[in-house]
Amino acid sequence: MIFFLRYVIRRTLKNLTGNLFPNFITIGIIVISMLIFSAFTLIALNLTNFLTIWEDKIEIIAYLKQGMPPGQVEPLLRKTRLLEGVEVVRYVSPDDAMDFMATKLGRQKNLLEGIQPAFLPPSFEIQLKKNFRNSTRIKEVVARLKEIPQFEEIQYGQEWVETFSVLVHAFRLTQWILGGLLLIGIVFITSNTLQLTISSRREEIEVMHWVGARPSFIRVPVYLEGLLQGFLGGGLAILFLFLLHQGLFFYIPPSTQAWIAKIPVLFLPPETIAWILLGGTVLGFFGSFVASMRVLKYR
Amino acid sequence: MINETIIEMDDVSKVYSSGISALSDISLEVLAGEFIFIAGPSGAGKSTLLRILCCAEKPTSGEVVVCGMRITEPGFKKLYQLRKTMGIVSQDFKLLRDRTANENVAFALEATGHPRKEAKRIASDILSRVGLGEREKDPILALSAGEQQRVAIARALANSPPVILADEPTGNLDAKTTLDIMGTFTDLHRRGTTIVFATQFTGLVKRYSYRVIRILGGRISNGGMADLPKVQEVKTGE
Repeated sequence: MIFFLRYVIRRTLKNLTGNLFPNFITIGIIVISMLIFSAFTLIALNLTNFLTIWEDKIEIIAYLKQGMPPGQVEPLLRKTRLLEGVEVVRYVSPDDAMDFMATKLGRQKNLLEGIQPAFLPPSFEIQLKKNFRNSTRIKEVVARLKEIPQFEEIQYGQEWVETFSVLVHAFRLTQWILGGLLLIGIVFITSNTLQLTISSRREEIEVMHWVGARPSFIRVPVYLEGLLQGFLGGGLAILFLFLLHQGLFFYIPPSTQAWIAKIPVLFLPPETIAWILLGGTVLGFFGSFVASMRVLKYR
Repeated sequence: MINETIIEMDDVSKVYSSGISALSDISLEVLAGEFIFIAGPSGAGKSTLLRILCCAEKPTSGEVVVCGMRITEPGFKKLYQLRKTMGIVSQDFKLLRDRTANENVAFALEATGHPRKEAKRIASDILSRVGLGEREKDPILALSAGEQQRVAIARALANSPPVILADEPTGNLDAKTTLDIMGTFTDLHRRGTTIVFATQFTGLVKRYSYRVIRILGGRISNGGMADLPKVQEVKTGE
C-alpha cells in the first residue's frame, strides 16, 4: 500500500511537472471560473449582510391622526405594544419631532424658525422583534397597524426593502446559475486538457497496458492530477479574490472609505472557502474521471 | 508445465466492422514450453491472431483460452492478469525514447507493482541476460535497432511471463541482427518460455526446426508457400 501511494504520488508529480503548459492552462481556466463564482458569492454575501444590518435597524413609523386627544395616546401605545412582532414602541410628540429635525439640520436649524411644532404630526416609532425584521414579516405588522383607525399613515421604507431584497435574490440566483454553468465548463475543460496530457503520455500508457499494469496504477495518478489541479485552481481563485478584496480599499477615495467603514465589507467565511476548495477539487476529479473513461480504457 | 496446453484457439474467426474477414475458423493448440512460428505473407492475419491472443481484439466467434483464462467469455475483465502472463514484442519496439534501457525495463516492473529499487535491480539482471549489461544506462536512442529490440525483449521478460508473443520482431532488422535476436529467443525457449513468433520471412522459418502454422488469407493453410515446412509439422529442438 505504501509502495502504491509512493508510486502514485511520484507519477502524479511527474505528470504535472512533465506537462507544464497544458497543466498551466487547465489550472488557469479553473482559477478564472472559480474566481467568477467566488466573486459572485462574495458580492451576494455582502449584499445579504448589508440587508441584514439594514433590516436590523428597520422600524415602522406610524403617524397619528392630527388632533387626537392626548388621553388616547397612552391606550393606543398599550394596544400597539401588544401586537405580534412589536418589541418597543416610542411616542414621538410634535415637539420631539421638531427637536429631532433641528438636530439633523445642525447649523441650518434656523430654517425651522417660524414653524410651529404642531405642524409636524405626532407618531409612534415601532421597533420590531428580530424575527420580524425582514421584508416578508414586516408586512404582517404593517397590515395589523393599518387596521387601527387612529393611525393616519404607516411608513417603513417598503420600496427600499423590497428592491434590495429582490436584488439580493437576483444575485443569489445568478450566482447559482453561473455556478452550474461554470461547473459543467470546469469538468469539460479539465477532462479535455487532461486528455491532452494523457495523449502526450500515450506511449507510456500503451506500455503499461502491454505489461499488465493494474488499472489503478494507470488511473489513480490521473485522478490525483485532476484533484490537485482543481484544488490548486480553487486555492488560487480564493487568493486572487482576497487580494482583490484587499486592493479594493486602496483605490476607494477616502470620503467613500469613511462611508463604507459604517458597513463592513466582509470576505468569505472559512466554511465558504472550504466549500469552494472542496468544489474545485471535486470538479477537478470529475474532469480527470471523464478523461480517463474516454482515453484510459484498457486495450 | 511441459505438454500442458497453454494456448488454445477453437474455431476462431474475426470479421471487422468494415466486412473484411481477417481470420476464419482458426483452431490451434500451443503446448507449454513450445516455440511456434506463425508464418504468412503480409496481411495474412498473423498480427490479428496475436492481438486476439493478448486480448487487444475480440474475435467475432470462437473460443480462446490462454494460461487457463477463457478470454473470450463475455465480460472477461482480467485483462491485466492475462497480460502479466505474456510478454509482447513488436516490430516497432514500442520503447520510451526519452529513457535509458534500464529505465524502460524498470518502468514495466514498477507499473506492475515492484518497488523502484527492486525494479532497477531486476531490470539490470534481465538486460544482462539479453546481452545488454554494459549498455543498460545508455539512452534508447543511442542503441542500435538490434539492441533496442533486445531491450524490448528484456521488457517483455520483466514479469517472467510463461508466454512471449512476438509480432514480426525482426521485421526492421538486418540479417545479422535478426540472427542475434533469434539467438535470444531460442535461448529463452531453452529456458522453458513458450514462444509464439509471427513472421513473414520464410528463410527465417526454414532455418529453425520449430513447428510452423502457416496462415494465408486468414486461414490455416497447407499450401501457397511451398518453401515453408508443412502445417502442424512438429520437430523437437533446434
